[in-house]
Amino acid sequence: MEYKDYYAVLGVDKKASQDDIKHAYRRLARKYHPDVSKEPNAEEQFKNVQEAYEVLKDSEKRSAYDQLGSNWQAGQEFRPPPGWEGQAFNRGGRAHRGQQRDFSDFFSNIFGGGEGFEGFQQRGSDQHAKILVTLHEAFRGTTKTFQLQVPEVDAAGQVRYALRTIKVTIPPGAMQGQQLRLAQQGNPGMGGGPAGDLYLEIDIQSDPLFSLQGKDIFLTLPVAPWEAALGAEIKVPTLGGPVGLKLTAGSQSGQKLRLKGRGMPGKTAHGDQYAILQIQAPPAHTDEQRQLYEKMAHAMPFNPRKDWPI
Amino acid sequence: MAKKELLIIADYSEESLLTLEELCGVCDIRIEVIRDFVSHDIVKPTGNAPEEWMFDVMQLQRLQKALRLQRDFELNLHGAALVLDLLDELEKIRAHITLLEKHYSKSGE
Repeated sequence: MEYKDYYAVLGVDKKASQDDIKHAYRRLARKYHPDVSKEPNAEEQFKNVQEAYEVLKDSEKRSAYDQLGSNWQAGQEFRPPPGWEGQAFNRGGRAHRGQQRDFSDFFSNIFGGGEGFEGFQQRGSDQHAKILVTLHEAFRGTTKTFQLQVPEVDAAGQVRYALRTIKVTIPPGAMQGQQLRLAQQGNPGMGGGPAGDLYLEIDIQSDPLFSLQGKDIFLTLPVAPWEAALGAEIKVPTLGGPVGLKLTAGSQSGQKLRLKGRGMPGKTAHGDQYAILQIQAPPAHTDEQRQLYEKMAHAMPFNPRKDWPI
Repeated sequence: MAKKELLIIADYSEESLLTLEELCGVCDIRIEVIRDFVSHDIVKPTGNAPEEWMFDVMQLQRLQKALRLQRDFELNLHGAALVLDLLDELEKIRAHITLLEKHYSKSGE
């Protein structure tokens, strides 16, 4: 197992006061807490910070950790000194309620935890898995089969990994981030404690054409200037298939046209689809094309910057 | 401990709701703590009386998030509620920006 330099993780000196340690923890928690952070590897980083704080905030654990000596390097292969097993700790962070901790081997070896022991029960930790679906699959509904490696405790009390197959039915109209909870299908508990839960989260991949906002769908609708000016009948793609849209004369860029009920299906009401108008100016390549634009410039008294003060 | 099924069949249309007692077990907290969260509108169960309360997965995860925020930032109930609300707001704004960038600001194409 690898040695962990808890002082380096928190970025504090070995002689740091309890206050310094608390400050360092709080600063790093704001930076890496997975619920508030957008940093890459926030979860991993925060786990390290939590573990370091767990040890250094507790004077008993801190002095035990300091006794290991200061000649170790982070990541160095580490074995606890002989007789270390005799040390007794009050099971660290495990006494807290409402939390699950997953600390390193180094931590469990020095401060206990890991294997269950007599009279000690703990609920297993929850497991999370993401199910990737396309927007079209989410719209129509789909069935996904995948495999998940799960730890289980065998008759001898050993933890083994088993491959489980999960077949999940997703009805039409799944929401981004929607979760299904499978009670007690997570990691096994300790000392006869119940297993944790397994959560399956739907992750809808982004689509090149459509965007999903809640139950509504957004689509950019590119139109030619003459279509916007004169009105047009346009065939618009929706997740349920193409529908006809009537563009009224005098439409402008940025306008949002609603196709009622063409969004994601819902239990009570369907979402809508919004087509966002985007007028595209055709480039003038030939003489004839340039003449057309010049003709327009003469025939149409139009100043798009009439609201400017200059 | 019982051997796990090797094949799990799951269905999103069968939404699992939790009672107050089940929620306590899953989050490993006392009933009073959940009552506090409900009375401050941080989690919203269906049903009127606590015996009728049912919590969906969204509320369960909101509660777990609130508990994590409380524990890891040493916040009280109001602090955690404030952070949750701001995070919700942030998520909405981020989604809106993604939408605007994709559909309103295409340029040079």
